[in-house]
Amino acid sequence: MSRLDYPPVYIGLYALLMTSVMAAVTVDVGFFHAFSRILFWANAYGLGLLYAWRHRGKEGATLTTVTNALLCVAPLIFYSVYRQHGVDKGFVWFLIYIQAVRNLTLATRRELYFALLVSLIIMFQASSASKETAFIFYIVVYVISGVFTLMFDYMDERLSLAAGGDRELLQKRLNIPVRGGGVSISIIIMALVIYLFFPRPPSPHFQMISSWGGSHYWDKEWEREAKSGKGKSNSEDVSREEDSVRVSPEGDHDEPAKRDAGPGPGEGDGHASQGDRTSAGSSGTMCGRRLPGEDTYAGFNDSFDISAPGRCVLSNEIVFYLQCDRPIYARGRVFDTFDGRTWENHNAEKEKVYSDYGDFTFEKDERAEGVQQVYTVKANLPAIVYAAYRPLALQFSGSVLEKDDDLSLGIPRYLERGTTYSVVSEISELDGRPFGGRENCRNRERHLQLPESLPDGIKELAASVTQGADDDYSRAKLIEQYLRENYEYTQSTFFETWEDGSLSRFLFDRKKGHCEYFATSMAILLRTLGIPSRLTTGFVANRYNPVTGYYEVKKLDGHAWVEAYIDEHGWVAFEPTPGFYLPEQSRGHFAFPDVAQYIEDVVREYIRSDPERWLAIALQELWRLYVALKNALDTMLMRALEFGTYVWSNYKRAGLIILGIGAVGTGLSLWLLRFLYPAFRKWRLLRVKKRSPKEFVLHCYWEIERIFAGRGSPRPPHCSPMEYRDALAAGFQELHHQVDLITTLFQKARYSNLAIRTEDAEEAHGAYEDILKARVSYRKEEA
Amino acid sequence: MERFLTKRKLLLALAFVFLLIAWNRSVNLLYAMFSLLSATLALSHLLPKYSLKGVTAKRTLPARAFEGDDLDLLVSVQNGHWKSRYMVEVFDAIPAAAPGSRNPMTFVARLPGRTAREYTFKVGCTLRGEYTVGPLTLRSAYPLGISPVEKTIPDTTQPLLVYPQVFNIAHLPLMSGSNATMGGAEAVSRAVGNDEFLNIREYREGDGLKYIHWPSTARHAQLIVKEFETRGMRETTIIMDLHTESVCGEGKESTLEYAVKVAASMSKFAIERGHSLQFIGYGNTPWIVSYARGTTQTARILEVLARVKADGSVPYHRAVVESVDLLKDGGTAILLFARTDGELSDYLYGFSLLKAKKISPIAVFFDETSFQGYGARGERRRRPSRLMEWFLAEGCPVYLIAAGDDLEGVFSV
Repeated sequence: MSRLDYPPVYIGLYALLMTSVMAAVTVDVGFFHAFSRILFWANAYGLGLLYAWRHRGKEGATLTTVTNALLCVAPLIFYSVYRQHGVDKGFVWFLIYIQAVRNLTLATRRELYFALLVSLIIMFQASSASKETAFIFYIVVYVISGVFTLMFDYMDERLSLAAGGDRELLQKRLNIPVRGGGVSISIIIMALVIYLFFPRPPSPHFQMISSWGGSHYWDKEWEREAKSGKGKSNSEDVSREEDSVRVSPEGDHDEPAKRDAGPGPGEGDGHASQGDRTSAGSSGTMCGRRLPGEDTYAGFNDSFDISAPGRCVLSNEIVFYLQCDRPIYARGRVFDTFDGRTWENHNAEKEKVYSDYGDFTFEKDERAEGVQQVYTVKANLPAIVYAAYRPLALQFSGSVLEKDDDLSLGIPRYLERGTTYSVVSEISELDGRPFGGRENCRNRERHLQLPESLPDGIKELAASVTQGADDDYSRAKLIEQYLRENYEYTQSTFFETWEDGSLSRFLFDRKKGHCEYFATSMAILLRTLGIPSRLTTGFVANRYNPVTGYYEVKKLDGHAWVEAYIDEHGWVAFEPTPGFYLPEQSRGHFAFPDVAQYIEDVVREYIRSDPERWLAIALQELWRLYVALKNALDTMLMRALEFGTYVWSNYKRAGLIILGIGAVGTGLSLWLLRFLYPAFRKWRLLRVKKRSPKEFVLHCYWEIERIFAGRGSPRPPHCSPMEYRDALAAGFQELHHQVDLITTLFQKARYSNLAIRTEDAEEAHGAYEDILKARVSYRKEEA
Repeated sequence: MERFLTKRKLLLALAFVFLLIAWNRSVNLLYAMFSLLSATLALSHLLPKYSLKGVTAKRTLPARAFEGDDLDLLVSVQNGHWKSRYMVEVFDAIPAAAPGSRNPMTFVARLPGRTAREYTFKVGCTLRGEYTVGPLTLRSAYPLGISPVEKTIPDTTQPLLVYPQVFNIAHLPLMSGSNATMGGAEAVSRAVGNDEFLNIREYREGDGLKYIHWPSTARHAQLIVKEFETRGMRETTIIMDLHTESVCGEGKESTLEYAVKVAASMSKFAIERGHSLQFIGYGNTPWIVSYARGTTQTARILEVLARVKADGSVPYHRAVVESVDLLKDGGTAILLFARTDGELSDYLYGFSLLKAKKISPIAVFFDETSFQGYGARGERRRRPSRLMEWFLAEGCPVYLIAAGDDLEGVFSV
């Protein structure tokens, strides 16, 4: 393999390798957190390549020994990273280290290609793992660096083979004669078009390796209960003191039962449950403890006050990334008992489920297919496994779970940042609303519970709203519609102090509030009609980032909605809060609508966050213009479609005839043009001849240029008329005389003051006619 | 054999793999990588198509050269378009060059709009012959070298005649003619008086100053003298064996090439010494250059020697017989035997005719054993053939040349 001699190859390679290393290093932590590591590798790679450039072709035995010794350390690096972070990260760091050592001796094209391959593998792994939009920057820089590296490599190869030309470039250090800016911009623009408009059929998820990892969750007590089969319990059996206490958003809670944070990987025996409080866990309560130092949505506690969802509902912090083919409501808790202010879950039967390898199955029917979701937790969350209803299977880095009748899933301790788990859920759709399929509603009464102090007028309201409805599903829809249309969503009620009668004030007086009021109202209204319903809390996962392909779920996405049991369909989700929409399978086959929607959401959020900023004002104006244009275009398109449909339906037959005539006419015209066009040109020429012999001679010459160009012998730009004549003489020997005549006259007319007589024009005309009639083509002289 | 794994195939495969993985795993960042790779590939295919628009090239090189000389090639590349062009390669075809150098390439990294660049470089001529150089081919694979585009420039072929290499001959026993005063001595053309005017040539040390031809001197800007023919009959004929089956060896290491070099050098030697030289060779077409003197005759013979090929069907012994009628009495015939293993009986008639015309032969033999395959190089014929023995017995000068011999050394004794 030939040696590399052109210096910019090394520069391009350095940029390429460093981009991939930076991408790998910053995929889990931000740029600034990884700055020192980046700096280290930048120096290691830079010095290595510099050394290789200066000493290429002069490898000695010492250098070989040193590099071999350094390479022996690579397996240790792999093993130590593997133990901490898994095999894929271990492999990436293995490659990074190996390449750093190989850089010292990088001198041939083969070694360059190996380095390119290493960088590609690193980049591929980082792309698969990254969930940040900013990562696209690394990809773009990587590809541009790759383009330049390959370009310089190609130049190096050609320069070394060249006998002449710009060979001295090889000697000059940073002479880069090729302007790559235009190429880079063209690549980016073209890539954007491909990205936006390349069709994306539904993913088959073929042989997908489920993702799960992070901290290990286990509890000895839970495991014992699960294995002994004594894990089943009912929340009512547990004394109030042992139940999870009510946690206010401000953190005013009773002394929590300490749950050990659990063991890290390889930490031996795991945690010890402390004291009697762990029996609270073993008796089946969810760990609804407030996370240390964390502010969580109150809807994830064992009981929650609907008037106080928590400050976190205003926070923009991302709590997890979801990889899924469609938007979902990621369920957290389900509540069945309402006392007029607080929801709790008293009557659900809970059981512990054990699995050796973290593989939990809830659905016995193996034929059931589902929607796969992969959750990557970014912030600490309560001890709940979030999943879309109805979960069929779960892969989780834990050996024991707690599951209740409502298919809420709990874990021994809070869900730690960095955890990844996969869920498969069955999601069917009924009129665009998700439901989990038919299942029996066990213990129906708990879902019909009404508070003792039911606000007056609620039963009447329910009856009046659902007047005329024949079945439970219609009634539920009417109630949902009523709340959406007649009430207003507001966040101003988040921090209002609860007063007795707040719910009835919401329903009958103020008619505005936050989502918990809406969900509670609907659930109570349905229960008054005898329709089992339950309040469900969780996260709305519908903020799709088209760049990364993940749904970004934030703290402010904490939400409450209702599930009602409809006999024919099972538990069906309802969304009574205006401004919120049940997740529908709506992703199309192109990225463009998603990107447009994402940009729209980002702009809207920006304007909403601070409408007074000048940029927000400018964006608002642009937004209005955009909406107006979009509406105008939509209207035009609609009108055009209507017109087209009208014309098609009324004039289809006539239209086809016209189309047919048009096609035939066009074909005929094109065919006739073959004959008419030369005649037209000839006629034009003759007109000129009548006007002026000199002009005629000039036009004659231009005509023969055109004719010979059509016969495969165009006149090159640098060729003079006499040289052209000689060239034509070689290929068209029969017409040599005519060409010579016209050329001579042309020279005379164009470049001299001599008059062109009529006889000259006639001669030129005769020669032109001969050329026109002659049916010869360019003949190459045989060697 | 073309490489199977090219950059284009590799990038295509990578793009396809990224697409499959992105589709299967629904990872949008991998779709982004696929998009960027596809865009790179697409541009790598599209850009070269426009990278040669408006670009032309010309080449200038001498029409004649000697074997072993370096040709000065001047390649001029012009960009008639207003936009710059990048990574333009100009390929030439020079069959006279050594293998591996027959398609020299000029690489132009950047050619600004509406400019021309000139590049010179040398290409060695390794083998005599008549060649057609060109045509020039433009090639570009800007920017990644993935999808090259080529364009042949018409009217860029030109002939090249490569003369055989000529070496110095120290001594050759040519007949000096019948002039009594010059008997036994070699007579050469001199710028002296009392002889018939022959030609003009450039001044050499020893020439008489009164024979400077001033008009020619003024024209050529160097001293030119008149050359006179001395009396005496000095006709020399070189007869070459151009039978197809006579040649041993390949390329430069063949008996034909050695014979051509020897013939060229002997021609120069003889003509410089005032001989009237004739060349005869019966190839596919008969090559006959009649007697003449002077540098013009040298040029004519070199022209012929540049073109001769062993493509004849006339055996050498018959060629000698056919040639005798063209020979003048009393001269020298230089016989170049391509092989040493000819039958003496075949040649006796021819030799008797030469004797009858009082023509003195000089025999040059080529040891076919040493030319047969490279492995046999260095091996020599162990004893002279009958043909050689006959010449030796007749007292004729005999030269034996093997593959790899220093020809100057062979003719220095």
